[in-house]
Amino acid sequence: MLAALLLGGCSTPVYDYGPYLAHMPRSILVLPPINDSEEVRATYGWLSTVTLPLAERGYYVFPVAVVDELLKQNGMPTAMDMQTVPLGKVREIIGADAVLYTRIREWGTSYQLINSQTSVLVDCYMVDVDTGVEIWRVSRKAVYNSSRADASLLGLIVNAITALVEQIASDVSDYAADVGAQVNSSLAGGYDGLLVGPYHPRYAEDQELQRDALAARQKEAAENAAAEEGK
Amino acid sequence: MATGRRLVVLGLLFCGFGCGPGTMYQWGEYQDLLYAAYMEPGSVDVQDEIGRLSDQIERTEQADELVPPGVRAHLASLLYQTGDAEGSASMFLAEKEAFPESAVFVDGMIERMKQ
Repeated sequence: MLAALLLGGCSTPVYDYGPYLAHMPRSILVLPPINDSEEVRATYGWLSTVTLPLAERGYYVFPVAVVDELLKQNGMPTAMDMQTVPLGKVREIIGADAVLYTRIREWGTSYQLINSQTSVLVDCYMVDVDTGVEIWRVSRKAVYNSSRADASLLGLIVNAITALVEQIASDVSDYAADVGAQVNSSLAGGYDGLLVGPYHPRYAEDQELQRDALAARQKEAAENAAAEEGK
Repeated sequence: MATGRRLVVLGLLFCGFGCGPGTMYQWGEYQDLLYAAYMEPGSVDVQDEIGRLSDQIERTEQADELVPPGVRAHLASLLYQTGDAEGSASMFLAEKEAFPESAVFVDGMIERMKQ
């Protein structure tokens, strides 16, 4: 029992892919994100870099700009409106298997005298269109720090000049788009990332791996429950 | 000028994982064009965008490589904007042929264009 606790305490975190595997999508409709940041360019900065990582992971991704335009023409002028579109409509008009909903919580650069920090933080979740079941949820953050820590006076001067040059060259919030793209490319990675999709060459292999892992965890949980009861 | 630099930076960034032999699809300028069109509306001329995407699709197909999801449908939508309904419909159908997942969407787009 103690050993089990210790092992459990040290293992890498496990993500429950049960609902995801049960409703494995082939196609994903990416809705424009709700933007909580003060940067108005965040919405489309994010939207213009999300297709590549999802498609390369093996999913069909509907053309983001065409969908955006279609929803606007159908009485949904804002991302907030679009994210309330009924799943029945999504099935009827788009035919998507899953919808990806996103909220941008941070997107921007804060400048100080000798350094600047650009951070992007997004929350995403994906819903199965047929059942409305949430199949995936993650938060992703990326930070780009342009400071170069150096205590010497020369270092400070060099840093000040570097920061100034970078600030001019960066066209104010320029870095955010690159950091946002980094966040998007990280959606596929990590212990809780997007599963490998049907167009990916490793799809069959990964499905088997994931299903085996899920079955092993379910078996373990059942055994633990039985042991509890036997006490 | 700012847009030019932006495109270069994005291009470099994406080529890190988007244009090399490690990717399934040939992304070309698709995402850069999306970015430019959204950030500075009018900065990319529609005819110019159509030319670039058409070239990209043609080159990719000739090299027997894969055009990413949505690129043909995006081009189809631009063609419709410029009044080329026939070209638009055939590009939408090409999207459906490459990716059957787009069937409901593509058929609906073609249907709405006729109205």
